[in-house]
Amino acid sequence: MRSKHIILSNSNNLIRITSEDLAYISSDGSYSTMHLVDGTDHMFSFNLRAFEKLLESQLGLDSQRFIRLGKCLIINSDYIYLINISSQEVILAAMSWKEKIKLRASKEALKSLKKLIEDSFKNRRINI
Amino acid sequence: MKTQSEDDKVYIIGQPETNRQSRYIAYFWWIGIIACVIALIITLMIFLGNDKSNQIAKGEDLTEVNIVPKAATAPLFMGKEGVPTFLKWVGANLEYPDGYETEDARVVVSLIISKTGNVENVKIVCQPEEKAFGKQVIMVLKKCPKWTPAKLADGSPIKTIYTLPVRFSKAKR
Repeated sequence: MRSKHIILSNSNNLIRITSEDLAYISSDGSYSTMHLVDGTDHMFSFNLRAFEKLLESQLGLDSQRFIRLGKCLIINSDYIYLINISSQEVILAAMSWKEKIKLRASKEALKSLKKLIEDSFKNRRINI
Repeated sequence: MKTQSEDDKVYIIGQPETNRQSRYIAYFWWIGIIACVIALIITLMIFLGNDKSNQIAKGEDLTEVNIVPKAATAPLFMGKEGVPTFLKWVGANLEYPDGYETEDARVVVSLIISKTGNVENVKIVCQPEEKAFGKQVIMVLKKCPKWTPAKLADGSPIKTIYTLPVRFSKAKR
């Protein structure tokens, strides 16, 4: 299935990417930064909530690969590699990437994220 | 730190979390409707129950009480015995008809104790298809010893009619 493209434009630029190119979106209040898998990023002057709506409207069902993580992050759940609640980290990675991406989040948010993913895999728990 | 719990929401994009709330609301609606329906059914039953309280429960027919003038007497078997002795006599003297020992049967006969105490007018009220059973009963009653007839209050004898059911069982119960 061909994935749809996300198109964002401001007065000067238009950027067109697929959802697979998008690793995560971070936010510092009223503006957001899109981080792509190749390490480049693009800043836009709308907040995370607006980004959510944009993803929903442009991607439709495909938007469900993205997960809102707390106040500041939307992550592409396809790239979730590791969640460590005690060190308050979630790491995004893929085999094709040069480097892994480490993101910080609150313990509560990470607990919810972990549960969300476990539930979707019907609670496969292995004692590490 | 204060608003952290509010902002720590984690959810999948494209699936608004308000789904959960609206689901809860839907559940409450359903429970409310079902509760109302049950309440309605219960009140209906109470109303119907109240109507029925004016009716009377139908009981059984109690055993018939036979009033006979004190001086009247029942017939007596063999001069002075009661009906149970007669029944025992019938049981002792009645035999299974030949060739029918593997069958059950029920025969009902009516008989009259005449004014002179003889058993007369033995009639079959009901019998199975195999008439041999009925014939046995009639035969045995022909040999029945004499009775003392029933007497009215003034001492005059009178006929009595009895109904006797007989059951033939192929095996002892």
